Amino acid sequence: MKMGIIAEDDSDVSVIKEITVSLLKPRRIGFKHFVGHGHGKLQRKCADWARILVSRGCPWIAVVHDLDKYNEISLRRKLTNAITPVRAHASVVLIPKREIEAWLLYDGGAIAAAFKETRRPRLPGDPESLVDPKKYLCDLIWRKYRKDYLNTVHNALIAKHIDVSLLRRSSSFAAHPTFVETIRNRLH
Amino acid sequence: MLKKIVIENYRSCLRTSFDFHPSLSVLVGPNSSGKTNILQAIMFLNKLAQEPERRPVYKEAITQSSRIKALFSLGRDETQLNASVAAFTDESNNDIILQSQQKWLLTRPKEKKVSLEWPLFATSHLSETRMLPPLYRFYRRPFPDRLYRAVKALPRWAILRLSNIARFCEGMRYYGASQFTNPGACPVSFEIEEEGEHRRLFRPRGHTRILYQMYSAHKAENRSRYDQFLSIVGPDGLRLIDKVKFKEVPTSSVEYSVRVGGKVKVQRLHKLLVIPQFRIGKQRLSPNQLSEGTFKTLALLFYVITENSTALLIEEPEVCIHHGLLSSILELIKTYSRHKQMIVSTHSDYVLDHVGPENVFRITFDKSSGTIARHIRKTMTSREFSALREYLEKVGNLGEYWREGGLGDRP
Repeated sequence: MKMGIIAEDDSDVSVIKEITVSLLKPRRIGFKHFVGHGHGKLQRKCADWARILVSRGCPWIAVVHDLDKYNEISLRRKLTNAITPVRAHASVVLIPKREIEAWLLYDGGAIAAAFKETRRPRLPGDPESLVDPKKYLCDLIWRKYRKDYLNTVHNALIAKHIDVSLLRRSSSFAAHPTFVETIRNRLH
Repeated sequence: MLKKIVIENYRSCLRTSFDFHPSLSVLVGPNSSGKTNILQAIMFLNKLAQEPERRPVYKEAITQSSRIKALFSLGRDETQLNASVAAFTDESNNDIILQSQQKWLLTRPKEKKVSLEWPLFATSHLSETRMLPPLYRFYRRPFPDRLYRAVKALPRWAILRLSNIARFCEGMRYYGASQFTNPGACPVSFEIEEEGEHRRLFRPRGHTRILYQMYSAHKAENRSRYDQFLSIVGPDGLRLIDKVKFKEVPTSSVEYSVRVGGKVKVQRLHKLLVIPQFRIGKQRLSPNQLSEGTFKTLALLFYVITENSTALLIEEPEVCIHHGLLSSILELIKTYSRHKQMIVSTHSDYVLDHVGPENVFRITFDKSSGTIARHIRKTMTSREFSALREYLEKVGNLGEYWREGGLGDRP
């Protein structure tokens, strides 16, 4: 059985994949995904994509949508309503405050490991309060390592090394471990 | 940074005015609307920054007599170039500048405006006035006293500004989708001369040029950007290739020249045969064995990441590239557009899905006005633009909107 991911872009999908793999260890699971490349398409197609994912053998569905200027309650309701009728075993709607890159800013060790460095960067106290976490991460990596950060390449690498216990401080991430726990219980 | 360009009488651009986005400008429009012509005209600025080819100028040879007005800006400092360019288009559709006249107007807050007629390629010599008369022979005129006085009176900031603009124009690069078609025609090796530490290749072109540029980056002392390129295309990144190797084989040849009086001069030339090899899995491939998509992607990413360019003009980045890879390439282009100005022409709605409306310019062609370039905001009423914003938030992407006719292209 597989998990279905609906997200805005491929780098969001890879972050969710890697974090889920870490949370599920040593159990393993496959993934299938759909990406919207923008808010509008994701919202419009969310229900159809969720239905297709379930029919493709993904009874667990995760939807990732940045909050940006939306109202969190109404956005969550809209996305939950979209995926509820498909009757997945379990589903989760994850709404990072700005971008999913904020999650990657909880673990300096993971950033260092992804760039094959030993020096850890100094991180902000509350990454989710950053207005543009992607730009912050990019500037941070350039300042610290003089290397270019590219979300499509490095997000998956950072997520692969992330210590998930540090991520529990993030309020937008809180629902994911519970969701993965449901998958784990069904896999046993 | 290039802020604006006005192109007059260049191919389909009868009087085309284009205000660039500071980082990424995406040109969309039907075939034959003039997107490539705009990019080629922008490249005139690069050609003006390079020493002109010394060739006789026959009036009949001139195929283009164009005017280029460019506005460069850095903060509140603005510099205007008004150039007349006489060019010849060769059989490969390259424009070769035969003659040019360049007038500059430099403004700076609280300073007197400076105007000057000066060739961009000779800007580095502005501070060495004794070098000016021989340089001015490029104009095929005697060096006038009036200009000599004008150059001597140039304030320091103006010289510095012109040098920066010359560097910017010199650093412009062009990537065309048609440049790297048919990698089968790519040579498996190339030969360079060894001249002490300096290595030189005679007029590298096409596929050889990119291989030579990669080889130069590989041999450079500071190769951090090249390493970054390898890590992005390598197994930890986009998984295009695993490794690139350049095997070097020293060769030599003897050249004989006979001097007046019959004395024979023998000269031994030391050369280096460079053999590029790409490793993909267990396979070691020559460049001509790479697929067209892989070759094009490597070339494009090399230009985006490694090349020390100031501006990059990309024509149809989507050609021959898988959509998943294209998505990563577009993210790369967006990321690097913060360091270097990018101007991209495209026919792909998928490319448009990855950019915002603020980056998009619509190119149209009209028989009487020629090519017209307008920011999409200016092609819509405020009501239409609000509708687009709402569409992007609730319904779909910019590419879809375009495909569905929302941007008003002709059917």
